[in-house]
Amino acid sequence: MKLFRITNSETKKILTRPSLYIMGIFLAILLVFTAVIYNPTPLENSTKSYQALTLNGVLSPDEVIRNFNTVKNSYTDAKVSDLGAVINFYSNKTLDFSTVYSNKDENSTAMAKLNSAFIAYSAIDSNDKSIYEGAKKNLEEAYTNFKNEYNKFFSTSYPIIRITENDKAEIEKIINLLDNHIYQQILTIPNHNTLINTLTSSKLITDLQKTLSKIENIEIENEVLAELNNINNSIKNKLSELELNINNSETVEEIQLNAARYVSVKTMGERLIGNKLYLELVKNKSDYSVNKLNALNTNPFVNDKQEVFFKNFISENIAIDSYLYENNQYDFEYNRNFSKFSIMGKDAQAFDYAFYSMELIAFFIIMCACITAATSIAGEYTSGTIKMLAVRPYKRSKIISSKFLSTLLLTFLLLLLSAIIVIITGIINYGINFTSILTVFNGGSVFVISPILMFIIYFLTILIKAIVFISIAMMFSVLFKSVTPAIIVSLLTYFVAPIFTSFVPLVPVLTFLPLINIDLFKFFGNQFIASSASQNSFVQIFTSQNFLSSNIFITLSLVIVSIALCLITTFVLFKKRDI
Amino acid sequence: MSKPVLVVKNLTKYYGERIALNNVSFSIGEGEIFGLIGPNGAGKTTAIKLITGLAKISSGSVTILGNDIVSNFEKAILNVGGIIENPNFYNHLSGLQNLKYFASLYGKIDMNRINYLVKVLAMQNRIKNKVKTYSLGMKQRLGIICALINKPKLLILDEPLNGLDPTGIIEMREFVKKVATEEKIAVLISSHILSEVEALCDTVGIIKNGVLIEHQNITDLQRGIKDKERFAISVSHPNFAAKIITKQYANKNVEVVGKNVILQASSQEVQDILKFLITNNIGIFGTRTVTKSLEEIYFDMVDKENKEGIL
Ligand SMILES: Nc1ncnc2c1ncn2[C@@H]1O[C@H](COP(=O)(O)OP(=O)(O)OP(=O)(O)O)[C@@H](O)[C@H]1O
Ligand SMILES: [Mg+2]
Repeated sequence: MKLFRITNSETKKILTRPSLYIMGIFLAILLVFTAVIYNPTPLENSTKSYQALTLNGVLSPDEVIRNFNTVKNSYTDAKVSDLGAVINFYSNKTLDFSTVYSNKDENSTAMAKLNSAFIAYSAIDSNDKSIYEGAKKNLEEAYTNFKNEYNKFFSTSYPIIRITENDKAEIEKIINLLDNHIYQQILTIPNHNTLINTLTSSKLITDLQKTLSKIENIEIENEVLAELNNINNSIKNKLSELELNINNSETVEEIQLNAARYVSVKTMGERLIGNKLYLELVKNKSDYSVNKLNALNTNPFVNDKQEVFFKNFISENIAIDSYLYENNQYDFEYNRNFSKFSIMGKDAQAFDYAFYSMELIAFFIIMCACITAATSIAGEYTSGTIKMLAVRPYKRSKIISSKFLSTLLLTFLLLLLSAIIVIITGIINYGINFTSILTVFNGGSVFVISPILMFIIYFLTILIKAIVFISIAMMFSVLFKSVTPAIIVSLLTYFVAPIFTSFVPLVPVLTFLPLINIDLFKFFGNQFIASSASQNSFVQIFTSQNFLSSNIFITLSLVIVSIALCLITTFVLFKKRDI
Repeated sequence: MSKPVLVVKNLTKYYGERIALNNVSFSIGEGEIFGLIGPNGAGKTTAIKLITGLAKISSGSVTILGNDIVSNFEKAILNVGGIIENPNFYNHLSGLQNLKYFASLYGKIDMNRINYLVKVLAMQNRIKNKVKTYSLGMKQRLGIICALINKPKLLILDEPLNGLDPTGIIEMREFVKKVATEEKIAVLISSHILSEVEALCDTVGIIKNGVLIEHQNITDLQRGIKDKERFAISVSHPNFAAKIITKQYANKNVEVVGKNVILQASSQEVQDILKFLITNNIGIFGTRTVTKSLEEIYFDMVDKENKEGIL
């Protein structure tokens, strides 16, 4: 009751501060500014690729089916075709994961044999026809054996080995050389001196050995292989079912629907297997090495051309694909219902704008909250009014609480007001659409929720962020007892946090640092944060990044511990120190 | 003595190693005005900060109307109003807004009380102006209003007369006296303007280097000094007289001013000294007492303490 009274007085007092009105003006400008710079670029709807079947729109069902059958193997969405080798691998071959060839020992043995055959061959006198022919035959056999192993290795092991593009090119080059100069010579030219010279000068075999040894070999557990096989079979079944449907369809619309599903199932299924396999391969790696691998272009599994990869992101995609696949939701763009930056295959709507705009607005409002909190106690010291305030019938803890609560209350009200304004502006400019959103919680569980609920969650995560920074600013306020240093240090902390977040995103230990890892919204779906199609780098600066394969519970604990530590320090310092 | 409002017992405060207040005890009753006087750095503000809970007590206790300031802060401080060091207000607000803010901390704002105090302290004309436009004296007056807004039982004023003009000082003095009697408020005033304290206070405590040297009712204090009054004896040979008096009365401090020897003694001692001088053929032209103002007593004490080396 008394706390309510002092908080009430405190809030009214803050409201009389002239600086608050300056902040208000800036906020208004910012609201207008975000409305002006919001320029959504609707992306092409990739599910529409099946329309090619009815190019010109005048084909008969039979013709459409014929078209479908001719191009069905290429039915992967243009965007997804980056899956490249793996997609081809899946679509052209019968994949049996249980017999995956993943051991490169055979390769080494073959190479060693080739080497010794070559040494034997080069050691003998070409005039000694009988020995010469035997050695020639040995070398020929060794070479064929090596070629076989090599081909097997690269054709069947590709998904489970890692090799850089450079190394791969190097190997191809050497193999080519071997093919053109040596194999030909073994077979045709009886003079082995040229062959000897070629081999000794170019050290082809040792080079090849060296390059091959760089290849990283990963073992996949049997259960995982079994699971992947299951998915693979299930996809195949579904696809043949759909193919049957297509062939039995009578209207063009029916064919189109089934063809679209065919494309979706294939894309989703391939992506699902690819992602699962990839996650399995990198499960013991940090995000940092996952990114290094990605920079080497060795992940053929993830289609989005992301600059940065996270295991979290991959597992989210797996969750979404599994969900859609298992629930026969073939519109795989459903999950992109809206996001902060990109609009996929649909028009922008109020919530898109609201998410976009609130990012910048919240950044500003929390900054103002920092200033207000930093001023709250330090201001009283600077003006000397602390002595007038501390002799009122309120314990020190109540005084501090009232400052904290009033700052929080004002921040909350400002955020709420902005959220309402932003949504109304959005409705006026773009209309509103309440289609549910597919989102992934904590990188694992998929939820289909109303956009209103999603926005409320977003709002709450902003509020939590605000509480963290208000607590920090309060602490500095009490610590410095003087406005200027309190504001400077608080704002520095506030600005440094996102800078850290964007510049040192890949150091795993950062997961456990407060300040850098306080954004909880990233656990409600990366698609809101994903910047692949972001249209405005200015806004991106203020955007939280999901750079950590963190866990909501780690982050939540960090947030709670940060708030608790700051508030305890604040209370103890203010209570214990003389005024 | 009337019911005690403030009881200070063995109050001690250390700032790090340095002792700023050393074992100070006193109490103030209803309607009583207590003056805490002492030079700069004596510990007046420190004492007030301890009494109002602004600084932590190192040892000792402060009780206000039976409530301990440390263990029962909210209840104890509810009956206190005061200005500590300087009257500070929110400069961007008007005097009235400031008053309303502080009043709101006690619950419902009592506008009658505010209006009454504003009128009595003659602030009506400027009360709606921003505090940053106020002179020091206006701030002092606003400070007093603010201190009385909650009808306190203990009013604490740290140097309240700073910045007031002579009329202001007289008005303020009258006002404090009036409030003290009308509202039965115990008042604690700190000051180094001794004449003011003399005219205003019922009781004074002289503080020096954190020690409360003398703590008495003003008339008692003056009477106490009279018991050992200073006498000026007009003699024919003052230097010779001074010499032999010092010889005869070992510890007497004798000054020579013109034809006078001035010394401190009881009436009985003076008779003896006069006889002694006459026996030694020194002509005596007359004697008179040299009365002291409180100010002189104050300096006496402070100097005496200095001489005795009490820090
Ligand atoms: N926060 C502090 N830290 C350390 N020492 C302090 C502190 N506040 C006061 N002191 C010291 O305590 C002693 C008493 O100071 P105090 O302010 O009580 O004097 P005062 O009697 O009010 O003097 P003035 O007439 O100048 O106001 C001084 O020696 C001062 O230096
Ligand atoms: Mg002082």
